[in-house]
Amino acid sequence: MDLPQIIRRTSMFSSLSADEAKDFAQRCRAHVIVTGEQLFVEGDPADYLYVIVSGELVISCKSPTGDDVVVGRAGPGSVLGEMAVLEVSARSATATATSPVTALLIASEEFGRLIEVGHPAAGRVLAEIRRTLVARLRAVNTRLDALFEPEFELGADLSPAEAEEVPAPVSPLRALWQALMGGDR
Amino acid sequence: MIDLGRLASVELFRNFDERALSGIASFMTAQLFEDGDLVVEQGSREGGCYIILSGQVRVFRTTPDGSAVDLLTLGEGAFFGLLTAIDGLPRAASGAAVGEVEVAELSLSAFSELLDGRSPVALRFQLAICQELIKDIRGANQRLAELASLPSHSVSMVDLGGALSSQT
Repeated sequence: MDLPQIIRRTSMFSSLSADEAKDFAQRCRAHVIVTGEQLFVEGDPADYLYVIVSGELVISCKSPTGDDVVVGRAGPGSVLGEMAVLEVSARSATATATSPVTALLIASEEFGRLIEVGHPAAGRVLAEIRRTLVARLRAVNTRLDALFEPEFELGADLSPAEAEEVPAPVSPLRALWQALMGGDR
Repeated sequence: MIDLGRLASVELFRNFDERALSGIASFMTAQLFEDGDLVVEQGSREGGCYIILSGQVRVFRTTPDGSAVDLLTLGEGAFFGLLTAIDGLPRAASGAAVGEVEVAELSLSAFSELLDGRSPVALRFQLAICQELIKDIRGANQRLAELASLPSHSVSMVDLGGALSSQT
């Protein structure tokens, strides 16, 4: 299969016209790795964006004690290496294939050019990055929220009149957090 | 009409040239708020997203037990209200004007048009939105990490593994 065909068979790019896929093919390349091989390694320069065409990967980070901690998984349609287009930085995680993987590699400066010319492929990639970032931000907000839940509901079993006399529970964690953030109601 | 000079100093638009800036400005309207006015309200889905042109906005959350916790204070050039504009879920926090505040509002319909657009201006905006989301995730992760480092916390770093440092 040639590159424009691979591109159009990737669901993210299925709506590209033949010409758009051909043009996009000039600006990216396909990369194939075998099971156990790494697509990128934590600490590497972040200079490519990856669109996974087929196969599965596990995303891991080194913990302070040197262990590999799995922080996510990726499969067909995933965009990895988004930091390359968002800011200049090093890879903050390692992506290892758990099955044979075909990925499209887009150099970050090439992605910048796709944006400059208004190429629809750039819009599709950005939409996918945005989707994963929003999910991540909602997840981290939910975790922050969970820290504010009172550990038990004082007064939950009381009648409304009785419940009014019970002071609202303030978790020690929140008190600390308020002190930390400088907020005090 | 929004002052382009002010928009040019907004970090979100740091890579925008004058043409792109005036393209974005055409989607925005200026709004004034008095001290204490809510620009956005926790739990609401109303409104779009906002850039502070002058003044400050206090961001706070009302917690499950009903008390308000200040999260941060935003100053000139800050961009907020993004998450709800993207996914339509209720706002996670309220924002109140501190003194008189002028904001540039990007209405929901204008925001959606920019997110769906294919023009170079729209794509630049979409890239800027992703950069802003990364910044927000960093901020939230940092707050989580600070909480996790407190001696009395009930959250282990393992619990945080899924939320922390998953950028690639």
